[in-house]
Amino acid sequence: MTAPVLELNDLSRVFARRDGWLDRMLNRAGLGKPPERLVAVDGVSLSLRDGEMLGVVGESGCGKSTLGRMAAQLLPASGGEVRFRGRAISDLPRSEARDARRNIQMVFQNPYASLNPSLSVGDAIMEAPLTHGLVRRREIPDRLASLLSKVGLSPEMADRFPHELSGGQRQRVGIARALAVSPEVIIFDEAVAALDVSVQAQILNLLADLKEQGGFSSIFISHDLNVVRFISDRIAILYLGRLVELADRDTVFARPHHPYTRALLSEVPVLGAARRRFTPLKGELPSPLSPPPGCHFHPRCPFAQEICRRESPRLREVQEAGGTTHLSACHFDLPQPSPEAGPTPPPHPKEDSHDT
Amino acid sequence: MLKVDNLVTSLHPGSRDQVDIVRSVSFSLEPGQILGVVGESGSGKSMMAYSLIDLLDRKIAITGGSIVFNGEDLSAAKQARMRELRGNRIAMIFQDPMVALNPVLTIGEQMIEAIQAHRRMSRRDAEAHAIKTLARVGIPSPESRMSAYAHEFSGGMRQRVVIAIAFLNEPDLIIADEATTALDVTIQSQILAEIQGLAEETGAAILWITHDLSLLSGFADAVMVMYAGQVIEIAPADRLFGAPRHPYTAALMRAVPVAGRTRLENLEGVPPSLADLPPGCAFAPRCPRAQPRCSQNVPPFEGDTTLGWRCFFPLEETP
Repeated sequence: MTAPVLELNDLSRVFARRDGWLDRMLNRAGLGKPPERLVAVDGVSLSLRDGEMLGVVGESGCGKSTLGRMAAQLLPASGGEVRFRGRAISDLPRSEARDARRNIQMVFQNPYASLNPSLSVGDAIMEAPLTHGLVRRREIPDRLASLLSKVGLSPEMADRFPHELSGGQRQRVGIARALAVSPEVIIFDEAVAALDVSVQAQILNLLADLKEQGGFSSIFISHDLNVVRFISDRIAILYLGRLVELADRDTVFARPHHPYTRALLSEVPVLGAARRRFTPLKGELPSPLSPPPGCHFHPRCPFAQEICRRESPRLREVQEAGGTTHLSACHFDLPQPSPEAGPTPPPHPKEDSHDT
Repeated sequence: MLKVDNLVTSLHPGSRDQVDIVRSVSFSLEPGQILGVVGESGSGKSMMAYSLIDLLDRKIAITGGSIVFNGEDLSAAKQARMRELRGNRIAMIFQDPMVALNPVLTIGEQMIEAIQAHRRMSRRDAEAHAIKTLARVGIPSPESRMSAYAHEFSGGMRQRVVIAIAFLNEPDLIIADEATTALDVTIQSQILAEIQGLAEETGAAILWITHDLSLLSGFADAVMVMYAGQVIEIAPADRLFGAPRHPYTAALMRAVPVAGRTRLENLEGVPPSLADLPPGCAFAPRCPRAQPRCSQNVPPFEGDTTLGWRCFFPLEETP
């Protein structure tokens, strides 16, 4: 059996605030406070299958972008490892590590910020393949024309500069640039978030086409469940740095297991929904600087019990026999709410805490 | 309560470079009603709203039509009168609460100031009223939060404070411009619930501007779709989402990813530049139903301010 193309193994990332001079003095005098630590990603394991698009969803501060950056080797991990084709990238010799990095490309939310304003579209796209020695100079025009047509841009675009392009065209250039080095993995970080609805639709169609043509596996990071539902094969849901649920797209939507996933699904605005009263989840997103103990979701969870406050639930397999892997990090197997009945009432009332 | 009739707002009015950015917009709003305004970037939705409350840039001015608010024509109102109305009878909620709130004043000071600017009320009464309003929008322990500064709140709580300030003087009209766009889904849902409740309770009419069509379908009573500065369709929400008449509305709805959809509407091209509009219907160059007539004549608005469209060849009433 061949190893998955990309594996994230128990990946963590901690950001610590750098102490100012006063803190250092106090520390020396033994009066300092322990440094503030933000656990952005907390032991997340995911493996990417060949050719699939894995959606990663979560709200602000859930660590989805940090996770993507670690996977793309743009940010070192504090713990765990990223394995490419079965081998930890950090253990590879230089030239092989370089090759692994070339094979994992990233497309960002704001293509205007990620494109060099003084490089023409053609130069921006061909810069990396030249650097990596993937094309010879005389092959450039052909290669460029084929990349541009692949992302739906006309060949004349090669001579334009980023400021001459619309937002949608810039994002197409960002995608062409990622494709240019023929990577095995592409990580899309909020790649359609800044676009107008009609342009977003064009880019999503393009991504669906590219996925269909094959040649790469991808991670699609987004806050927008509707978008992820459209494009992904499997979906991972993160909450405050932890993976709380992972399953096939249709399973996530038909039989969500984790109460957070259920809440998220019921809050997403759906086109064509009848006028309704919103029945929101209580409470704010807690600060990632001081996540609640136990299950991070317990202060907002309508089903929280004593154990949820104490013990952090481990990610476990919850799918009925015969199905594909369905992982969820909840202590309980809560009954599925019937679609008509609305949210199931909580088992017993709980106090309103962690509201600020 | 609010009746906008053929409103025109222009950039560089009176000069050779005059460009109309809001083009003949008409609609009306009743107490307690939530009217959603949807459109893509550059559709004129925000400029239309800013025209209503005279928050326009110096280079931009209303050049036609009327805005009648509680029987008073605002397009002719003096600046001093507009100052009296803003924050009192008409309130505004913007996308970024950090811009709306003063960073060096406590939330309490800002709220008391907003009350006393428009009403004769003792400081103690104003304070009590402010606390009550904060509690109403779901801010926990409002008494102690009165002495907090804007930066001490989370994004969602900060937007609640802005909403509390908007409702302080029980306005007749609230204009919200992308008020939940920067918020997470679960927080957005909470805010929408508060707004629905407050509109019902206080009878305030809400003009809710957004680019998010899906958001409006569970939230608004009526929806107005804007394109190139014009209203191209207006209808009760269930009717608009059930059977849109204008091809642009329909295309926009097909461009939204929803369950079971494997292909989204590829609406080619981009909206036209307002300085260089096509001669006929502004949407004609991108319209799948366009006929020769559409690129020659501007279609008139069919219907009234509660149900209508601007198209020569509207879609069938039942799809």
